[in-house]
Parts: sequence; C-alpha cells; structure tokens
Amino acid sequence: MPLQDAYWPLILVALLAFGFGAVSVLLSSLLGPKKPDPIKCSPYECGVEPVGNARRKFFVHYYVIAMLFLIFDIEVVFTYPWAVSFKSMGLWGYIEMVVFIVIFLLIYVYVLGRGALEWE
Amino acid sequence: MSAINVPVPNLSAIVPEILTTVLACFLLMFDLFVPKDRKRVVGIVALIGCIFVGAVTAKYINEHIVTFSGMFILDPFSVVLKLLFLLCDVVVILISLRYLEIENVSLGEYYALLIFATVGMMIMASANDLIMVYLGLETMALSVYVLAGFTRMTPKAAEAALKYFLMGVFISGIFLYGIALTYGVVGSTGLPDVSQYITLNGFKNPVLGVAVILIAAGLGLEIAMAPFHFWAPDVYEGAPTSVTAFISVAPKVAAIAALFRIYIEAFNLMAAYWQSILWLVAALTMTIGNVTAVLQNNVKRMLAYSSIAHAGYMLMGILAYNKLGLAALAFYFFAYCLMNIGAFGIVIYLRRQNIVGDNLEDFKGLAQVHPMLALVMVVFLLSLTGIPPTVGFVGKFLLFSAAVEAGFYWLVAIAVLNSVISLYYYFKIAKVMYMENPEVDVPLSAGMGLKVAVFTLGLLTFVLGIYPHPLISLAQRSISSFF
Amino acid sequence: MEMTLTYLIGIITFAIGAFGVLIRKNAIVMFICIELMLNGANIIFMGVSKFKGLIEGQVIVLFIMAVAAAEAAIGMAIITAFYRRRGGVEVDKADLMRW
Repeated sequence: MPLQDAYWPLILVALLAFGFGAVSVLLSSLLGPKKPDPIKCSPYECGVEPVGNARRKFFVHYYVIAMLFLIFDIEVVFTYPWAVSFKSMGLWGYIEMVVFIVIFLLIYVYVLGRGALEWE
Repeated sequence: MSAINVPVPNLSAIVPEILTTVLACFLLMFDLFVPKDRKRVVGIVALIGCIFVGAVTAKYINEHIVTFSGMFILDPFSVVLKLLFLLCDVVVILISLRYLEIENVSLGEYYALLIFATVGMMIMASANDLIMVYLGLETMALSVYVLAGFTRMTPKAAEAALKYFLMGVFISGIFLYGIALTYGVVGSTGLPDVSQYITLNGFKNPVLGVAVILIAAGLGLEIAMAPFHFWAPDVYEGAPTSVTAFISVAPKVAAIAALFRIYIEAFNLMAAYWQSILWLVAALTMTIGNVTAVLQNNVKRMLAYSSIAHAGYMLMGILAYNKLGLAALAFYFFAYCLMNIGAFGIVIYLRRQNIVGDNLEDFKGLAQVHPMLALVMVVFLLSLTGIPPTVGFVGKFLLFSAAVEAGFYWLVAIAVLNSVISLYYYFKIAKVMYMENPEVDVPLSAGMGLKVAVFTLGLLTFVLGIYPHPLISLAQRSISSFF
Repeated sequence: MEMTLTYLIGIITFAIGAFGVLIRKNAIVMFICIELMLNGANIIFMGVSKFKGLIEGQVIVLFIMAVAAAEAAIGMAIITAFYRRRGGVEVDKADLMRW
C-alpha cells in the first residue's frame, strides 16, 4: 500500500469523529428543552462553584469517586495491549479478556449496590 | 519485538485459586442482598465455601504441574500451604462471627476481604516467578491493610491501618526494586532462570547480592523479622483481635514459604551468602521478640512480640536448607496456626461489654470463672513455649534438630535460650489466671462458633502433641518436590 | 551510554522516593514518594526491556501500574479514615501505641 493510501482510514476516522461531535451538539441544541437558570449558565467546573475561596473543603465524596475512577481507569491500561495483539492471541485471549471485564462488571454492581455513586 | 503469543495454560493448576476468587466475588454480591442485622449469614456461607474449596484443593496433593510459561507451580508443598490458609480462614471466620457484632462492624466485606487475602497467599505459595510473588503479596497485603483498620471508628484501628499501610507499601516498593535489579542482571524474573544464570555466570555480580537482600527485606515485613518488625506490635494491638489472629499467622506463613521458594529455587548457589545474613536475622528476630515480650502488660502486644519470636524460629527452617528443615517448617506452620490463633481466640473469648480482654488484668482468676477456658489457655501457652506434650514442642524439636543437622549449633543455643525467656512471660499469664482472684464479674458471652473453634484448637494442640504422626506424614509429603 | 543513563534515572527516582519516605511526616506526601519508588523500578524494567529486547519488562510495568492504582485507592481510604479520627495526616499524630 502506498504511503498516502495508508492515511485514508485515519482521515475517515477523523471525519467520523468530527461529524459525530457536530451532529450531537447540533441535535441537542435543536431538540433539547431550554430552561436556563443561573446555575446552568455558569461555567462548568466539575460541580464546584467556579468563583470563591480556593481553600474551602471538598466533599469526601469526591475522593470516593476519584478512587473508583482510578480503579476503572486501570482497566483500560490492560485493554490497550490486548487490543493491539488481539489477533495473535486468538480465542483464548478473548476469553481471558471477557473474564477480566466480567470481574470489573461485578465490582461495578457492588459499587452501585453499596450506593457509592449516589450523590447525597 | 514480536507480538505476544499466549499458549493456553493448564488451568487445572489454578483450580484452587479460581474457586477462591469466585467465592470472594460471590460473597461480595451475596452481601448486597443480606439485611444489615443478619450479616452472620455471609460468614457462614464463607465458612462452607472455604471447606468446599479445601476439599477440592486436597485432591491435588500429589500433582506436580508447572504452567503459565513456568510462572506458576502446583506442587505438594503449595497444596499443603493452601490447605493451611483455608484452615486459617475457617478458624478465623468461626472466631469472628460474633466478635464482629460485639465490635459493631458486622459487615459482609470482612469475609470477602479474608478470602481475597487468601487468594493472594495461595498465589504466593505457588509462585515460581518473582513477579508472581509480588502480585500475590500485594493482593494479600491490600486486603489485610483494610482488615487491620476494619473497626474504623476506633482511633487505634485507624492508626494501625495507617502504620501497616505505609510500612507495607514502602517495603513492597523495595521488594519490587530487588526484582527490577534481578531482571536487569538476569533478563528474566523466573526462579529457574535466575538459578540457571547463576550456574552459568557465577555470582560475582554485586547487584545480585543486593537483590537477594532487598527481596528478603520485602518479604521480611510480612514475616515481621528484624529489623522490619517495628510495625507488628502496634498493628497487632490496634487491629480487631480476630484480624490480629489472622495476620499473625497466614501472611507470615505465606511470606516465609515464598522466601523459601525464592532462596531454594533461584538463589540456591548463593546459599552460603544468604545463610550468613539470615543467620544473623533469625537470631536477632527471636531475641528481640522474646526480650521485648517480657516487658508487656497487654496480652495482645505480648502475643505480637511472641509471634515475632516464632518467625525467628521458623527462619531456622529456611536456614537449615535440608530435607528435615523443610518438613519441620511445614509442620511448624500448622502447629503455629493452631496455637497462635487459639491464644488470640481466648482473648476474643474475654471480650464483653466495655472489656477488651487484652489486658493482663482481664485474665485475673479465669481459672475460677471458667476452669476449662483457663486449661485450654495453658495448653496454648505450653505449646507456644514448646513444652511437651503439645504440638508446639514437636514442631520446635523438629526445627532445632534440622538446624543442628545443618551445623548451626550457636543458633540453636540462642533459640533454646530464647525459649527459656519465653517461659517467663507466657507463665505470667498462667500465674494471673490461677493465682489471683477475679476482679469484675461480667459474665463471658462467647458465641457458638468461638466456643467450637477455641476448644477444637486446644484439643488438636494437645492431641497432635501426643500423636503427631498425621501431621508429620503430611509435612513429609509436602517436601517431595524439593531436594 | 543510553542504557546506563536509563538505569541511572531509575536509580535516582527510586532513591528520591525512598529518601522522601524517610524524611517526610505527611502521610500523603510519604505515599507520593512511595509511588516514586515504584516508578523508579518501572523505569528499570522498561530500560532492560528496551535494551535487551525482552518484552516481559513491559508486561510487568502494566502489572505494577495496576498495583500502584490499587494501592492509591486503598491508601487514600485509609488516610481519610485516619484523618477523621485524628484530625490530621501527619504520621507523628499516630502515637496511641508505642512499645
């Protein structure tokens, strides 16, 4: 394959990505209900008020969410090398990854059941 | 670099680990459906699960399988250890069932964490690769850190968990560095590869010498061997007593077994080198443990120091580096499990409203209040000291004779001297129980599980001391894959 | 030269981490230093893997990253529990039990 042809898939994916983003923003602005209020209009800052004293305390809940994020984030670290060598690992590699993800699913069910993701 | 080619591993080698993991995950899920005041059910399910896994594991006792590209080994030694860990689990669950309710932390996660820790220890027992040891160690340690702080409302437990965690993670970083150095020199982390490298190239490389020490240090934390024992008394005192019973036995055994396998399989040609270091460490460990225990008035803390001393005795089994040493080590693991968990069980037995049961005063006049319990405690104390007719005596006798056979006369002399010192503080407890009058008359209120566990352990400690044959044959079978 | 340099960076990272653990008193900073130690080991694994052409080193690094993440999650939980009980994360506040 000549070099310039090898880049076609990349361009295609880039177009798809931009297209998806543009379409979803456009659709939500066309279809979504608009009820602006002061909180909604303020800049998004991960749920914290954007202006104020920087030394105020954070909810412990942030840390819980951060810990959970950390654990699930690491899952992705393992899926990258797996995705790269997916073909050479065959069916066995696939089964191993399914087992791995099922274990993460169980953790997710546990976290949900314990109510760690409820914001109250 | 070529892509990773993964051959399908022989899964029958990891059936115990798979079953244990499934059990732990199941407990987590099951716990979600159990109402808050009936968490004991989770414990009972965990108990049945452990017995089931044990029954399956016992079938593999004659197998010898190496799988996962040589990273994992299933041999009689590892199977015997796995059975021991499951035995620990069963006993600890029995003594925890009611204790957790008294401490007001009756949560299902407790049992799941115990089982997860067991998975880690099983991997350590079977690891044939330094990285496997590290992963098993971390799986175990991370569960145990949480368990140590399980009564999180008490400041002492929070402190114990913090100390344990910081020390544990620090030392495991050092352990990992030891592995990295080994990998740098050898180009592999497999134990047979390291041995092969040393055979071909000799051990002139000083980096390997450093790695040997760093690896011993990393495992030495869980063993609580000097100079890495500082955390042990604080953690043992602060943690809930049932957890103390667990962490004073199972992780210690797992770490000693892993250290043994690493030294015998990987660094066998450097034996003279690590023996000279371990000699000093063993002597220091038992002396520090016993001498400091004399000064204690808190029974949990005293038992903590005594368990440091016992780690010193067990290191003699590695040091001896002969057939008898390994068999004695396997025997002593079981003996230590019976008597140490038993002694902590008695401390739990004394736990009732407002009384923690770990002060020496709480033992006052126990012989009048509950003569049977006092008698059982005396059996455990005799066994911990190493006086016949108890299982501890047989274990110590085997260990000492192995060390004598290997020519460590001075070490054995130190060990015997230490046993004499230990007699003093163990019998301080016996004296208080028999010579003094009870001070408080709050009735003992032990649950069924605790009663069964303590008295069975007492009986086993006594019977196996008179008739140790079954345990000895088990220990002999476990060494068939070495030497 | 490159090889020595990589090892040297690994050793220095590890040493900074170990030194930090020993001199700092804040539990969170101590923990960050411990992570530094793990990364020192990681650099060595990656260096060996690259210069000796062995792929296992990279796999090991993935494992260590997972372990480090688990340690961070549990460590933060334990440090939070300690903070609630003792009102600080300085390790010299952990003085309820000694000798």
